[in-house]
Amino acid sequence: MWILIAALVAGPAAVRKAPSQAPADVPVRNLSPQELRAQVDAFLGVIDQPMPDAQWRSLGPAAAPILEQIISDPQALPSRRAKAVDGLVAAAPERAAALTPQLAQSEAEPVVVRVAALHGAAHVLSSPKLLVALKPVLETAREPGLRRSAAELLARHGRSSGCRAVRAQAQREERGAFDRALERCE
Amino acid sequence: MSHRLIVACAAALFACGGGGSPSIPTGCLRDADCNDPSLVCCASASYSCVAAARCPAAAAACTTPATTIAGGVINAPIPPPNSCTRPLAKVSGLPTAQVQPFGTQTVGKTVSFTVPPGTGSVTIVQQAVTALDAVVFRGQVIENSAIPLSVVTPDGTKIYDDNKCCDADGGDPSIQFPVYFGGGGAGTLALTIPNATTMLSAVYRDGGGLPSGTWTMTVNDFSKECVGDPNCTDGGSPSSTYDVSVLTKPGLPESGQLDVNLYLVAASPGFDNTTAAANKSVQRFVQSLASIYAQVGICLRTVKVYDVPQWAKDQYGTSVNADKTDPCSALDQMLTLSQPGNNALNFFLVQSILAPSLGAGKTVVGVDGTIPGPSTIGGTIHSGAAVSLADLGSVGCTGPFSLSCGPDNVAYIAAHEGGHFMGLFHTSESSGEFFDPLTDTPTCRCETCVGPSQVGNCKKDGSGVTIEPRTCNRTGGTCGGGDNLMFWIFDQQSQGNLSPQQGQVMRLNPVVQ
Repeated sequence: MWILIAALVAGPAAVRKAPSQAPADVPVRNLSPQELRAQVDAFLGVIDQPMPDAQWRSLGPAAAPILEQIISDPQALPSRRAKAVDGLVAAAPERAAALTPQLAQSEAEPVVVRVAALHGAAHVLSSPKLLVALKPVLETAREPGLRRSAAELLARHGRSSGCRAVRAQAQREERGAFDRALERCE
Repeated sequence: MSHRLIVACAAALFACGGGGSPSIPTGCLRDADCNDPSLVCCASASYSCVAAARCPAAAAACTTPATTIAGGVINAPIPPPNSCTRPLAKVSGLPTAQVQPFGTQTVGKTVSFTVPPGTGSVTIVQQAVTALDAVVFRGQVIENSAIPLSVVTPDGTKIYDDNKCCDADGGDPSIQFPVYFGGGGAGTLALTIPNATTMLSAVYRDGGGLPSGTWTMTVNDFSKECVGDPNCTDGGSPSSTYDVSVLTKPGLPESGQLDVNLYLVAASPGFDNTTAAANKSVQRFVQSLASIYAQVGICLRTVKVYDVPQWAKDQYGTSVNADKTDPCSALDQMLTLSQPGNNALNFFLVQSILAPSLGAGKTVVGVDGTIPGPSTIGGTIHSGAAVSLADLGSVGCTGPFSLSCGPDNVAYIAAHEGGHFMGLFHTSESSGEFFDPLTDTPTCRCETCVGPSQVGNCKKDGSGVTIEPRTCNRTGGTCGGGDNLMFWIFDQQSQGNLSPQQGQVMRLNPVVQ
């Protein structure tokens, strides 16, 4: 049974292990601007294991302007911009609340950035605000996967009004496309 | 176990291989075994001590560029299946002489298989026929991973014992265990032997390969181990059944060829299977992937591009959850679309992958089925890896390989996930507390490397500080590995390096031909 224990303590199964327990917060680190920038850059390099929220929070609110600059940089790689959205949601949720709705709704943004913004919005917005932010995506996003993601997030976080919107949009989607969201709304 | 005993163990292992004249190894397992600090323990020099400059990762170079071709639209059901599918894939891309099928076996059953003389590697594959997906151990739900209870060589040496494996104490698994198991997923398991230094060195020292003769393995899974364990409160079963097969690969190749399948799951990537070969970003991606693997003598041969039906794009293009990896998850169901009967590394190119267990969205850019994957067997729930192609179309690719260049970035990620599929683990995990089972990949231990202000935040459970390339950039055995392809995270300084032992593990995988 050793192997089970190993899995529980977050052993080296890099990509298939059971998620470890939610990390406790680590204290905010006292970093110089250069160190902070380097730390942000390092955190954006995750491959198949995510950077825990606690690590982003350890950078403190000073990380927010750096992350916002990366998010808004059209020359930055889309996956790094998406990871920066994740970081902003964890490190500065109030600022993420202002940014994520417009990112999620914009057809000009790469899909990976919009997906991160959708999930980030669900993390930082209240249910009524989330419905306002995600309903346009649910109803008009060109990418079916984005509409599906919006439906599932509204089903999970949008309460009864979210589910009403999901059911209405489901009538206009291919059969089965919103099954998971509709199941959650049952 | 002392190091001396381990060397003796490796010697014994080789000596019982049968065929040829057994010799007592005089070489090394790790750099510390070389009395001269200017020398390294070189896997590619038959595990002897040589100057670092004389220890190449591979002896052979790749001379022919890879060819990208259209694969058409995959053969998949339309409309999509109404429920979760768990196909039993029976067809390997290997010649029949290298495949030993044993049909359906119940856990606890011991299966005998033949290892011919000169065999370089053995891969044991268990595919669930009837098995629960999860067990509950100490209140936590854990996927019911298949894993042999034991693997025994012809002289009776137990080279794998699941009751003793693997790295629960954070020790050095490369010399603690002849065979290493780092965790699997429910449903399908592949275990390729050798995969750790002790046994690699035994098979490579005089080129004899694995001990030939009749081996045995006992079919097993976590669910079986749960039976009678008071810590296990649900999921125990003594009667799971698995389809068992054993793949053998002859020789100890210095080089090999690798075919790759790309499945275009992401919507609107800007090309399809017919236009991919002419797409500049795809060309750059293929070239960069080839250059990463070429350093260990693995030559990319054919890259076949497939389109998938629209329903698969809709279902999987943005919804792969790297934390949800049960057989009915989006990831596992997507991987069943890999085409059976061909021997290739399958990359499923999606738009985005999330791993939300540790926070909000949590974007990641790759996820592998299992380590290693069920190589040569397409169509299982673990027959490939997902890679985000979000950066593929990005610009900035005028010069040599650069991680600022989108296609190079995606190639690096694909190479990393392909490394997992071929049996490589992260050289150091994020916590800096767990390491791969190879001695020539530098470790970066948290307590030693993060510096005095952070050392108090080093934690085994992943809740503390993480190690990074810039804190793991020293040469030598400690605080290194940040430049390695299989480091857990990458940055602009990452080189995508591979060590000689990593090259051996990859080349011994049956997906390399």
